[in-house]
Amino acid sequence: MFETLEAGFMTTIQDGGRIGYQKLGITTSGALDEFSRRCANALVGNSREAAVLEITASGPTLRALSNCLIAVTGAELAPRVNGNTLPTNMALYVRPGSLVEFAAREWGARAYLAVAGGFETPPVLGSRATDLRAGIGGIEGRALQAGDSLTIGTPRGDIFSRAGLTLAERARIFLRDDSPLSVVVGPHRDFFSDAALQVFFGSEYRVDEASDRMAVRLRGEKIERRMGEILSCGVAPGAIQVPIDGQPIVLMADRQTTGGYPIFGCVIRADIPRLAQKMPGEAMRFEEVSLDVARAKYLKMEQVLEQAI
Amino acid sequence: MTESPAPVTDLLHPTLLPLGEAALIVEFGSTIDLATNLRVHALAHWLDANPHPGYLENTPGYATLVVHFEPRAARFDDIVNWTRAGLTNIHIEMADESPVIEIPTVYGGEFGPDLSFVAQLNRLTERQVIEIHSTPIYRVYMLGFAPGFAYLGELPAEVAAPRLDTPRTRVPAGSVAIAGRQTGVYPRESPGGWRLIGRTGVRLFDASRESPTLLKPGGRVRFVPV
Repeated sequence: MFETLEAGFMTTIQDGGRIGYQKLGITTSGALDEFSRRCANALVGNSREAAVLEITASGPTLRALSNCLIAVTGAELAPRVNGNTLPTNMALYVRPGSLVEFAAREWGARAYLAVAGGFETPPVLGSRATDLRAGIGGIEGRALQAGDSLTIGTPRGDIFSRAGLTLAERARIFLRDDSPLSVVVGPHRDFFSDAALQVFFGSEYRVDEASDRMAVRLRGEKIERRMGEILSCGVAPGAIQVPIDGQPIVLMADRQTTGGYPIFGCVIRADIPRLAQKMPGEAMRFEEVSLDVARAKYLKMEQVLEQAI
Repeated sequence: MTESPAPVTDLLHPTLLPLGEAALIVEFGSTIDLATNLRVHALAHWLDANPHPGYLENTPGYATLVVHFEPRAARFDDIVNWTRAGLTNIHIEMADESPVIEIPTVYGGEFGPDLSFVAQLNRLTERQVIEIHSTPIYRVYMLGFAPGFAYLGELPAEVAAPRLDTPRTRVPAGSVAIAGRQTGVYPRESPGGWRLIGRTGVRLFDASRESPTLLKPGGRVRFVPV
């Protein structure tokens, strides 16, 4: 069990998401950087579905009340155990009474803390993911608060033997890539001219302060589009909506399940983790890829995950 | 590039397009009409009943269906072929005939602050608006915006009303509302721009229920004045 002394800026329980209910208006939620979540679980020997803490920018202060094996992946937020540096991307054994905290943000936006056995909050509709807007999942449908006790499940296998395990090199460097984010164009391609496409793929965009788990709002060159709206329709994570003001909105894990803005394209799944690690003010570029390339990159990401330990 | 093309509805030959590499969107058309929407739901039910490896779930829209899948288990072309097979196997006669859900509604007064606006706009009495709104059996065209928020149609033209210019920051949970030719119920307190004509005490969303929303895509609904 962990005790929460300080909650951090935005810390939530997340797993792989709530699947099967989008038709009812219930979004998937889940980790914004699913790659890092799965790496953290792999390090501590959890199943893929196990719930972790998603930690945003400024992390919590937790006290371990039992022996446990933990791992922190994703953003570099200078984790410490009892004041000593806790290396990221590594499984570490923590004794009862130990204090885990995050001293400073060095890189990235979201870190993931997995514990062997997983965080055990009551599943809602098959998932422990926190849906803040609907107020379900995780800890009573809300972010972590000081005073919260976090229950841990039974670890799979012997935790001591896993201490010191690290991520394979390819997994370790996966997020550290400044290449443009890949986008599959469409389905509302007819709302945009060829010139508009060129502008989007030729420009730098920055993350706006108003971004959150629902969407990354981008600021940059306006994407010209024709007037009119689409009838509300389903969406997907990574979908890039373009309202009349021409500033793109990239939908993320807590997106509304349907939308009425035309969708310019979708950031590919394999690049959503890098997008999720961008802080407000940070910049990115995009490149168009074919569906085949998008799928190939997805399969490659899955391969990196399978061989992560 | 300033005008919208004329709306297209081709129920027999919808467009199938990628929505990223893990979803397919089936576009039947660009208008809100019952025949198109029934076809969306018929396809959705067929896909659920005849799942392809890698199929995860679907999201119905007014005239579209998004099919979500796991790319490791299926290629886009596999999902397209499977969806096309579904299209040849469905009929709008397969519409949901499950029991009509009744929504007991207190109309007007403090529960329906926009009822008089809707009445005046349409040169009706409030009583007439209530009667007209509560007579039809509505279809759930789709759910979205929030868990359990159903877009219902078709609202009789005589009581149609535009959205508020400035949305309210707080619409009480259970508010029965109108926007254009649609009607719906706000499941939880939220901001909202629809015209509020009544309130229901029925719970539209409860995550602890096996069936977490009262209303489902393609289902039927009637409002009952109390």
